[in-house]
Amino acid sequence: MELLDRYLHALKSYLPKGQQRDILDEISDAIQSEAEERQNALGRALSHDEEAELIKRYGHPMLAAARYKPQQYLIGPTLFPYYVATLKFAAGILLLLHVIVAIAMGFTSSNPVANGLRTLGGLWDAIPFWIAFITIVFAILERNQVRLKMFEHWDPRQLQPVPAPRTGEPQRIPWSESIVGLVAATVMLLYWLGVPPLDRLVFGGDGMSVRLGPELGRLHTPITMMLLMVVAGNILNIVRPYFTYLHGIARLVTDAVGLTILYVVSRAPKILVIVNAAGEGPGKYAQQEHDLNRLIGAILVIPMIVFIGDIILNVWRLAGRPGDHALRQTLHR
Amino acid sequence: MCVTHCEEHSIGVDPDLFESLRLELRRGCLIVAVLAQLREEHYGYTLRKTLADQGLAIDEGTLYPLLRRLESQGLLVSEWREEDKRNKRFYKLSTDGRQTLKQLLTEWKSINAAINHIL
Repeated sequence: MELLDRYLHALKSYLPKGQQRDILDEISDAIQSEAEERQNALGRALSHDEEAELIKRYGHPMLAAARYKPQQYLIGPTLFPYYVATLKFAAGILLLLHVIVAIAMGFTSSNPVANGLRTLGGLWDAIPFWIAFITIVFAILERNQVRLKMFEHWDPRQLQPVPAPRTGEPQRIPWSESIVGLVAATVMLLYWLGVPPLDRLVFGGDGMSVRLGPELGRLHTPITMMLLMVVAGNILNIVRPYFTYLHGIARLVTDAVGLTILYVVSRAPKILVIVNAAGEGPGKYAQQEHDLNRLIGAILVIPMIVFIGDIILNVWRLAGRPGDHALRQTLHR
Repeated sequence: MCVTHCEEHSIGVDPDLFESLRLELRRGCLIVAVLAQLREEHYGYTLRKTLADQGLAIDEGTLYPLLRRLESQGLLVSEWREEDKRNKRFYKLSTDGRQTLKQLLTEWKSINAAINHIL
């Protein structure tokens, strides 16, 4: 049987080294036994097609050989929950470290936002490495049949209480969140519109004051519009304190506009300038002006991260979690 | 009402899901059947035929690796011997295999009785 020889030859290359001969002999005998029995029943030799059909039932050489190997998976069901938990934990730590480093970079570099964002972008390089590393570690643990007992000793009494069941109403926006948001946005709007004027922040005793940098003048209208949107949004939240689809879209738009404005501001060579009454400067305050702009540039990273977080949260809220409501209802029965 | 509801669901059952559940159900049963059949000595081909004749077909790609695994677990012993002018590998239950089969059969009977009772 030429086909049998070809099958055994193909199968051999996939089999575990020490067992190749033994397994091939057994399969060869099984196929030949069946072929002989069918030949006897038919009273003639099997055709090429009949031989092929018989051999095909033993499976593709690669798959047939794989069944003889002791381990068919990289990480088995016992270790898999630990593997997933470790990946989540590592992702959280990586994110935290990158945020800390991004903020630190903001305080120490001349272009804080760009450097901070570049540091956050480094996450994409770090994540594949850590996924690969953790996967390899767990694959080794699995291969050596190591059994983790981390979660075997636990007490049901220490589990978190079940949250109160939600009604069919949309999620309520807390009053405190809306009022704090309204006050903060109103104060910022008044300040931005010059009540009180920004140049009252006087430096030294020689009439030097702080003003917005020339590049920021172009952003006056967009920033005013955005602050008005935030004020209006918070008033709406107080009047209709439920998170609806409209609320979510409005917040997404506000966050996106805010993020864009902050980014443009952070790219300005001078966010604030120190000038005298005639608008000239900064004179001997050049170093202070430089330090002030670096400090503000670094601080801007924080609201940008807040905006990004709020965008993610709102997208998550808008996507909804239909299973939650039914689950909570069940748990409270 | 309930009957209609249940029937509606059974029509939509994913064939892949059913196949996966069927294989899961058969996996443990096949081990018991193979061990039980090997109270008498068999080589692979006759074992497969005997099981198939008794209504438990098992494909070639599953049986031979299973025999190897059971042997490596100490439940079977095997030897190469010539029969019909060809070398064949004969399997039979080991001492441990007999004891394990006895325990598995007790478990099997208990599960079978419980399922019958539930049904």
